[in-house]
Amino acid sequence: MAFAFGYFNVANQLLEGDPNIRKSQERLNGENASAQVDVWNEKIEIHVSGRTFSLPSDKQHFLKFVKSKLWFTYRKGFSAIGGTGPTSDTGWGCMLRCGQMMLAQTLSLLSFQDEWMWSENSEEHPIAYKRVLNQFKDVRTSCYSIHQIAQMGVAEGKEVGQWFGPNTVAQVIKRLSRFDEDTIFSVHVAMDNTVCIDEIEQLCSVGSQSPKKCQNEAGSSSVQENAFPVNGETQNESGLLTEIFWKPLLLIIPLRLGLSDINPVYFQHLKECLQWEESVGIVGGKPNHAYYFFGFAEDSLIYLDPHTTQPFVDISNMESTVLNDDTYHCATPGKMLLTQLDPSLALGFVCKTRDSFEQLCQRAKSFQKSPSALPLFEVVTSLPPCGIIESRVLSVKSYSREKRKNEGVSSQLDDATCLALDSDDSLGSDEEFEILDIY
Amino acid sequence: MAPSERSGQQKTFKETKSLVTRKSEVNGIREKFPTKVPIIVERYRKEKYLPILDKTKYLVPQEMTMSQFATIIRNRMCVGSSQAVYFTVNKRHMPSMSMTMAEIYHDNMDEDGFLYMTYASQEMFG
Repeated sequence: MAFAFGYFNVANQLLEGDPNIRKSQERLNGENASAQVDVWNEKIEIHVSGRTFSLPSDKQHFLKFVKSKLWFTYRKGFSAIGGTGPTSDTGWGCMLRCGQMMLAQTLSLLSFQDEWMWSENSEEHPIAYKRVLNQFKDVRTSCYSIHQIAQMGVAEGKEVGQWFGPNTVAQVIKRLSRFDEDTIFSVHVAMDNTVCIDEIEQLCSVGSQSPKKCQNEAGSSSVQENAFPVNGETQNESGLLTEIFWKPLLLIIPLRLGLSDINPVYFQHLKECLQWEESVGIVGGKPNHAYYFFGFAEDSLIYLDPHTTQPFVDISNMESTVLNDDTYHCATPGKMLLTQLDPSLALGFVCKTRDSFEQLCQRAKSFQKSPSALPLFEVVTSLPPCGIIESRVLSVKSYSREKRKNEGVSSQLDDATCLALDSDDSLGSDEEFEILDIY
Repeated sequence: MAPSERSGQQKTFKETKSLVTRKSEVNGIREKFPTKVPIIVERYRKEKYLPILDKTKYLVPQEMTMSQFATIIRNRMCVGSSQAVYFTVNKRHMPSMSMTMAEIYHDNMDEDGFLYMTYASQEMFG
């Protein structure tokens, strides 16, 4: 094993050294796999969406749990995207594949028992699992195929084959879900680090009366209670009880937690979010390399890596009892330090019920705010109106001249400043303040 | 959106002026507009997708929230609601959207008296 470890490290360094080589090179399956499994022999606690695995004793259980997740990787040899486009997504599809993994986790949670474990005998797979997998087949006709995601990216300003960001894939998933005929969930992408309860209530409430109206009627003192009616019931104007159903929600929150490097003040809450049972992971990665993160252990994140090119596989159709799905499951998850995380990422949560959404909001509202930990996002009931903004432009240059003319040499603006402002015409608009007023 | 022709080589506001100059500029403007917060808003030097704003210096009402200010800047850039735009204060953290500009200013003001914000979209991955 010592040899395997050494080999793994060298191989890893070589691969890391040149991103171009790394991108095109396929995973060194044999040695790499055995070395990675070794990582899981350490004494460590792994947290995944409300579960805890105590390794090494839970190692087999943990690896089986990971293998039960759907794993999407680069593929080659699928039908050309758009008829004449690429037949492989190697080198560009990693964020699209990570989006598929987050979505597959969502659909799995909503479709079948969380406890279900994948086995090599595909005849035992539940029909709901097959249905989920079929939505991700690398064919044009599957709702969430690489073909659909890449082509829907055009609507978000990305040509087929261009790299995606976490927000791009989130927006594309939202768009595609509207075309999903058997859609069992709503997708909301929370922009500007803000989750707005009213927007989500509107999206997920399915009933004869809008919940907003009920809220207003109830008055401000009990808005919080009425935002999440107990037992799905709320009173309408005529005093009759109207049942408000909740359509399961996939909430995606794209964030940027720093400019060139991630700010460590976000680590605590990132880990906390992965621990919440509503978590369906994080799409993010190391700079340029997207990963699907689903758990953490101490200061490391646990992920599935899409950077392996596998040949296109015809999974087979719904009628067939045998599935060729073993390349859609990964035996060796990756582990990396939080400090290596790229600041651009998107959090994913599934709220099956209104209660679970309420729980999520409550947890987010109690995010600690301290010098060592800042909230990842905010929860608000409604967004504040922007108001009428009036804008004026003021030139500091003319201000300082005028001031000098009227008051003599200003005590506030020293001579050097006035001189610099007066003599440097090339700065142009840099010298102007835009003044905003709200009415 | 097409990347702007003016690349990240542009000097930052701090690079164009000395501390003394910036300080006296803030003092002068604060004297005339005591209820407004002076903010420098600049594009992240590696940003490729968002345009450069035509103004760098803003004076905003102290009671304005970060969320309102973000909406104004979004509108100035003419980007759609699905485009990611993030603001960082002092290049470190995201300001809370419900805070007022006065609160953010109070906690994060630079030694020269300006509040510095940098905007960026998200990185792309392949």
